[in-house]
Amino acid sequence: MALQTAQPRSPTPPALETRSTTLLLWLRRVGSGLGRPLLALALALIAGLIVIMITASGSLFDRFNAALLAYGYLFSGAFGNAANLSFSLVNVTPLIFTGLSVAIAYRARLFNIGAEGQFAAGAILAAFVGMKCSTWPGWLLTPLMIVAGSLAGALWGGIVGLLKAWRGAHEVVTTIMLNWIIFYVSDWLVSGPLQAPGQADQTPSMPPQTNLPKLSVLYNQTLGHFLPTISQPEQYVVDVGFLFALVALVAYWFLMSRTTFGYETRVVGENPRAAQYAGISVKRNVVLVMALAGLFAGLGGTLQLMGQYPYEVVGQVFRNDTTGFDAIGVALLGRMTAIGIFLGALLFGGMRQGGSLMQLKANVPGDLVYIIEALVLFSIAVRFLPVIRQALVKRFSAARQPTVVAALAGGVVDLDQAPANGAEAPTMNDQPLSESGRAALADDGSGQAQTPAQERQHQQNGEA
Amino acid sequence: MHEQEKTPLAQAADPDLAASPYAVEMRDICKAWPGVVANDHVNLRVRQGEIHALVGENGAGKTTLMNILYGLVRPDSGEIFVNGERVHIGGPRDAIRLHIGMVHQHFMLIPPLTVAENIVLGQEPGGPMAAYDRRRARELVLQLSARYGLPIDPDARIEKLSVGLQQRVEILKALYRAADILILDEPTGVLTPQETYELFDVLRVLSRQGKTIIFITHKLREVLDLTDRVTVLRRGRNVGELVTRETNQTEIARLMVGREVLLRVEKRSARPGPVVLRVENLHARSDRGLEALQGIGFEVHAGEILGIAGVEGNGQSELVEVLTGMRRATAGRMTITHTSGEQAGKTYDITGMSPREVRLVGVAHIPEDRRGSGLVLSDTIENNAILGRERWPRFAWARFILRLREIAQWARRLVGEFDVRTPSTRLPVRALSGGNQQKVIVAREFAADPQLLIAAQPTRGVDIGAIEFIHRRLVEQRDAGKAILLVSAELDEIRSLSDRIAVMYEGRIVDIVTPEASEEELGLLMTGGRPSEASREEQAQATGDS
Ligand SMILES: Nc1ncnc2c1ncn2[C@@H]1O[C@H](COP(=O)(O)OP(=O)(O)OP(=O)(O)O)[C@@H](O)[C@H]1O
Ligand SMILES: [Mg+2]
Repeated sequence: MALQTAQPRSPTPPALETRSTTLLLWLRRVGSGLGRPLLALALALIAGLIVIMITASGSLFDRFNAALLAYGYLFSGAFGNAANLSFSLVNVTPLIFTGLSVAIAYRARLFNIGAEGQFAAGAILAAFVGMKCSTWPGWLLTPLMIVAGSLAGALWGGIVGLLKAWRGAHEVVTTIMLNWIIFYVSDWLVSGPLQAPGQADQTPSMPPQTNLPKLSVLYNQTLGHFLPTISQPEQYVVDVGFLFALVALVAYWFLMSRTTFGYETRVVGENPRAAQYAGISVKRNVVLVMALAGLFAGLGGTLQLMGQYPYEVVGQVFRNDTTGFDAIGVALLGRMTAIGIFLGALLFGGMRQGGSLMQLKANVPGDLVYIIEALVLFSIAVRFLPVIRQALVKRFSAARQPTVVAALAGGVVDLDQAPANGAEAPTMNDQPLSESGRAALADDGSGQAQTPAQERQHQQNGEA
Repeated sequence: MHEQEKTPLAQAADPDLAASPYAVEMRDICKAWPGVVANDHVNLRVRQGEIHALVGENGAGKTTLMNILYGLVRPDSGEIFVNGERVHIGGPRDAIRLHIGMVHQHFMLIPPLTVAENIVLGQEPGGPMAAYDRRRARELVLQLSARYGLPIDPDARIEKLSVGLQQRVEILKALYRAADILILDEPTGVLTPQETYELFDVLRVLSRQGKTIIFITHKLREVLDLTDRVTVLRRGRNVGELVTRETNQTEIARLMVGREVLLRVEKRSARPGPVVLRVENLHARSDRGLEALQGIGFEVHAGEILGIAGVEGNGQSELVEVLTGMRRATAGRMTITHTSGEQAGKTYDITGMSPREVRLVGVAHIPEDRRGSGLVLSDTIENNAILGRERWPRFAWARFILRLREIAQWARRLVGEFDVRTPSTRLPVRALSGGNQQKVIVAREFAADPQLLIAAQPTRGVDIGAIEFIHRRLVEQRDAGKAILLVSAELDEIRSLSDRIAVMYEGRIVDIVTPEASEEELGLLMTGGRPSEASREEQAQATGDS
């Protein structure tokens, strides 16, 4: 017998795919995709500003001005004119390739710390082929070197995948070990078998027929016939490798979101047991993904060698180069998406370039760039941004009315951790132990831990 | 934060319950997720010391409401009163301070730690700065367990405990934090019938000691057995507040679903056709290397439902895994014969096939552990709708390029046909309520038009409307000439759906009986008792028929 039976107002029909929900979902996805990296960047820039203000002299106002001036030079040094931009893009190209390498591995939840090694493997083998076949015509040798370099990278990454699949060796350990192996191999080759006669510790320049054309030169030779030509094309140093990078970005996007390979990789990364249920071979996928990761990085190394002066490998270069490690930052900042990686690479590559102008003109040490980079990564890695956002929401939704803000805020809980395409921030929340561990801790009111509470809520939603 | 005075036990023991203030009162709670209003001006009033059932269809907003009470979800609007005082609950910490405890369905325990360690975790005796005092922790746990009559070994490691005992640890954990109001979200979903009885005894004792209990379940029998009053939600709104003694299953079901629900399955007698699945002398090992299957043999015909009954852990899970290619058989043979479609009459040996191949030759599989293996929670409904079939020509061009439009359409069709409550198929599955997640799997497997359908616990955690729906679909598929292997821990489900029942005990099929076999007889078989002469004759008849 019903004590109180409210008659339901007209039953809500299951609102399928209404315009507004689609829009809302999209907004939230874009918001959570862009919001965190942008906020991280803003925080880092503010922190950098404070650092400059501390080191500068004069009144507070002077210091502030000095800081703004430095940022102005940083920006114009990176993107201010075509020449600077072209220098920046030279940095951007390898960052895109290695960033893709890190990102594709991460889609299967593998941490590729070995992009630098794969990058090196590509460059070394390409150099080897270039030297041994230096008399071959360019139309044959150029593609051959590119293919050889890519395959070398793929092999170097594939080994990691094989070790993981069949021996269970953790990829972080094996990639770091393989990095050192290739660094030493390259040092040995450069000061031994591949050493340029009469030179210390470097290979000879690659045969000129294989040097990749500069973009500006290529433009003049093709479109330039119909459109205005670029004068003094030689000053714009970026080469066609950049175009390759753009193609690679598109290929990555396509592979990940439009093919069964991308689909299966995501399943393997997100839920290996579901992969088993679906009949997706986890081992095969791990090997393939690592090989592809290596391929991207190897291609990056090869194009760097073939596209930029002095077209040679110098001793110990890879050991001191940080491209493959910066790539981790690029991929994280870009949330593993193609567009994100592009923007991330642009930021990192541009700052490197702009840093020198800043040092020159504003007399602020170029190392500031590294500080900013580190801070960006730090803000992302520490994940305190969601907490800040939540705190803000708490303040602003004090009215406690169901508003769009509140709905979006509710989303903070969810979509942050579950973006549709599996582009997640790097928490290893697949591990039941750590998950339940953290959740258990949160349960006891260790309080501020927002994340466990969120996780708990996810678990809850799914439980029935 | 409002400090709450300790509820005097005497008050709760007051026979005149109606006079005492509500332990929990939630007023006009609203909570909207994008595209869904999970709670729409919901009211909940729970008296002190009562066991209060919260029921409603999948996605009705029960979990959301309880998460709000426990501080895990922030309501858009509404007020909460605990023991008559208006409170603000900003997080679990506030809830714990108000003596509210919550037991989630998937436990939040740390498997390698001991029971005592898990219980005191975060509020260790001596405070956060002191060294962990093991002896004192043990003592406290033992005291607690004696006081509430919940025997437990404080030194056992969680990973070694059964699900029922783990749940007991969760309850003790809440009690250790001095919970007076205990929320249990679908606690019986994962329990065996025996464990359920034990849990009910525990809850009755707790309630007698003055604890207030909010109990979420989909099983109406449990509501009638255990609770004092019932609040019914439908699509985020209150539709009824009942006194359990004065109501019945049919009324609750009607309130929940908004129409009459058939609590019994109606079906014609089976017209079994030729054999589809033939299993001979199957052997397999469990994860721990024990002989889980010891020579299993049976047949499933087209147009019949073969039920597998048995106490959980007698090899049913392993049997399903072997049949679907997820586990290797150490000996034996399994074949699938097509009885309809283009390849009618063709026989495939599926021994040693991968899950993908098994699916390709016409086997569909509803796995028992939906969150564990049936879904990728962070992925969209669309993508989950093709899991395991992503390379089929229909969904992928040249087995490589996904046909997104086709997939989206497919997902929308499944969502529509199976009444999955969601505002969009692009939502991550994680955002669905538990029962709706199950429906996504059921829809996916049913829609694939298989020869053999293996359904393991197909209605676990789904609401009565959905159970009715899934049962009807199973019978429909049977009548359409499919072979169905049903594995379920619910004896009622097995008995009402199956045309024949195979009883498993310790890795063997001890007997195959008709659904007319009495509950006692099945119970005896399931625990390894010897079948009576009568049932053996029956069995001879049953197999002779087919
Ligand atoms: N984190 C979330 N993000 C978006 N939507 C959500 C979220 N949690 C729940 N929902 C939606 O809110 C509604 C209510 O969900 P809730 O989990 O409260 O249902 P329930 O009554 O517990 O159902 P079940 O019996 O299936 O567990 C559902 O439609 C669900 O899809
Ligand atoms: Mg629920």
